[in-house]
Amino acid sequence: MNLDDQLHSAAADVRSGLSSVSPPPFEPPAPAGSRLTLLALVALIVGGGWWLVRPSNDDAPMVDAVTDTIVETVPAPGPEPEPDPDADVPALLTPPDQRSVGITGFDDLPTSPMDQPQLDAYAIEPDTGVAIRRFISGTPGSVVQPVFSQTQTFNADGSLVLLYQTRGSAESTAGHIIVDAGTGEMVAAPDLSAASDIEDVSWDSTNPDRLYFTSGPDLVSYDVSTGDTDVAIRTGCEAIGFGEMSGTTTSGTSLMGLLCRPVSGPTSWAVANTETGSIQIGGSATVDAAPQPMISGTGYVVVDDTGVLVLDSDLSVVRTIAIEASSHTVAQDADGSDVLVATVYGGPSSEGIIVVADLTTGAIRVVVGPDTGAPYPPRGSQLSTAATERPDLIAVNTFSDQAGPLTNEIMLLELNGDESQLRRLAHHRSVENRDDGWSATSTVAISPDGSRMLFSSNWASDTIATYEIALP
Amino acid sequence: MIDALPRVDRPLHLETPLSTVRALLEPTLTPLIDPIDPITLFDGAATTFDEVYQREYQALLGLGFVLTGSRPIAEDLVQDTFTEAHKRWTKVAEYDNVGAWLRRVLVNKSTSRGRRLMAEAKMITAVRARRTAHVTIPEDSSEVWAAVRALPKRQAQTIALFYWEDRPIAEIAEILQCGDETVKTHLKRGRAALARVLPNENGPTA
Repeated sequence: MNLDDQLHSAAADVRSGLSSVSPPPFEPPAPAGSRLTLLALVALIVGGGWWLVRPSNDDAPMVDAVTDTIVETVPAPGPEPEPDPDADVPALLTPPDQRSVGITGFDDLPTSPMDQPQLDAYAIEPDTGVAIRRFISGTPGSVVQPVFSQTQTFNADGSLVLLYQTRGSAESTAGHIIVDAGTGEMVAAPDLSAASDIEDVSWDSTNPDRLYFTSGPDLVSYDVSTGDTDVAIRTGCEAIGFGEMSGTTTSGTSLMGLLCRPVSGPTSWAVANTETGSIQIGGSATVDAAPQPMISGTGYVVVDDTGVLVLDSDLSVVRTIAIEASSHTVAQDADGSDVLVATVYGGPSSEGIIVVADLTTGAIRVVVGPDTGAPYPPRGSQLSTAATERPDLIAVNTFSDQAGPLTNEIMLLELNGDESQLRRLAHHRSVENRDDGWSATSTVAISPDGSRMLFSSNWASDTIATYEIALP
Repeated sequence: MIDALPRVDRPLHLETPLSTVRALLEPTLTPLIDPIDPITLFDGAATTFDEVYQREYQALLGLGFVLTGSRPIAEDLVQDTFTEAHKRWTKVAEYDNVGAWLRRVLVNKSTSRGRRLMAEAKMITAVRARRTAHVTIPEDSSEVWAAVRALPKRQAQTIALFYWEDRPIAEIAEILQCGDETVKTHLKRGRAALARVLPNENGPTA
């Protein structure tokens, strides 16, 4: 059979497979007003009850940052507070030494009402005591958020943040934007439309002004300070990309894993060295995913939906790990061992929101999952890239239209072997609706030093903004 | 324009029957009002949102399936695509080619890895609840589409639109918002790449 016949036959088979499918009833999205009305009613009912039992400001679940003591948030009955005489002063502006590190445990933590935090003041998350502020938001109905949890958001020194917006403004068009990590002010609106995927963008591991994306056969660099776009590495492949992996460099290295699709022959794994401008071509790629450097720089890991492959520095497979990783990220345990952290929904290993695979030994352990008393992972669980200077820290979010323990929360994973801990920082209050599509699932990012986290939320509206959690 | 307002030769009152008003005004108004263009799909049929939804659902589901390899993800894409259309239907309905617009939205949405991950997780959790559906196709056809998906994205989209949808080059160019020659290049390179990885009697066909 020739190629044309093969393709036509394959198309016919799909038509046959779908022939009995009839469209389900279309469910138009509820107008934002209706949703808000419903949410307002819910908030009124729940909030009324909460108001009666809420703690006073003095009783808020603040944590002593020096001792790092975690205080469980237990709403206690309290007297009606006196009206704030200094109404002009943001009462919830939180000095850094009063920030909470959240709570631990896997108990159900119902979501209390909370107004959308403002741009110029921290608000206290009533369920966890964590300080949150709105970092950036766009026009009503727009989306401004980290590109994807597994795409680097912060640059090498944490001074810039890469975001994606769906609507333009006076300063920029829809697409990627780079903003000041402190103020949220626009720094640049690079045209990265040539990137093979909006998520296939990666910051340089050392130069804070440089990011990379793949375009056809080239690894292209963009310089934030000059606005210049240049070919960083001309690979000689017909096309390069990341496949099913997000493009990431790794802290302390200038290595970036790629898939090289040659003019002829099978696709190969490859590694670009952005410091030397060279590319290393390895053996045939057995799965459609690029290798990602381990934190230690001693090897690579390839993840697809069938399992995890560990490669040595020559890009040869040295180990397979039977784990079906959904959202995942390379990280390093407190003892310096290279690990893959993943959310696992099924397969040969145990399930969990946080499952850790040791890339050196192949050992798998569940940190947060049914085996450790936690629930089955909510379907919208996402892990961020590890903090580049603290690769034991990972931001985590969960998302579902079903309420439950560890659901719809923003959390911080701190790897430390058997003492690893998941700190529950906030409910993201992002509500699934058809207007937002998957964007409403919330994306998370953590700064290089692990002192700040970003997460996106529609806050039960039709506008998705990005919020900041300041950690002690 | 005041001068363009219709003139009628007898006074109208609130009590005047609507049919009389229409009969009086119509000859004067007709030249002033743009004819209402029917929504034109590829097949040229005039239709409403519901009719577009019914007519296009299966084709879009198939396009989403061949581009992602997953029916749940394809369903998610189709739902989101029609939601986009529904939100701005007044505007979309004025487009000359609604079908092309729908396909452009779906194709662009299909490139998000995050969306794929989310939909896969949704699928797995649905499987646990035993309430999902799959598309069963022969293994060799499944391998063909897997090879298509492994192509660079624009090549894969071009191949899918050409072979799954049977779209001519010009329509593919409209959907992907590029030139005819670009489509031909994607098609040629995509076919050449497929010929290298898929066993076929003619070898490379580019």
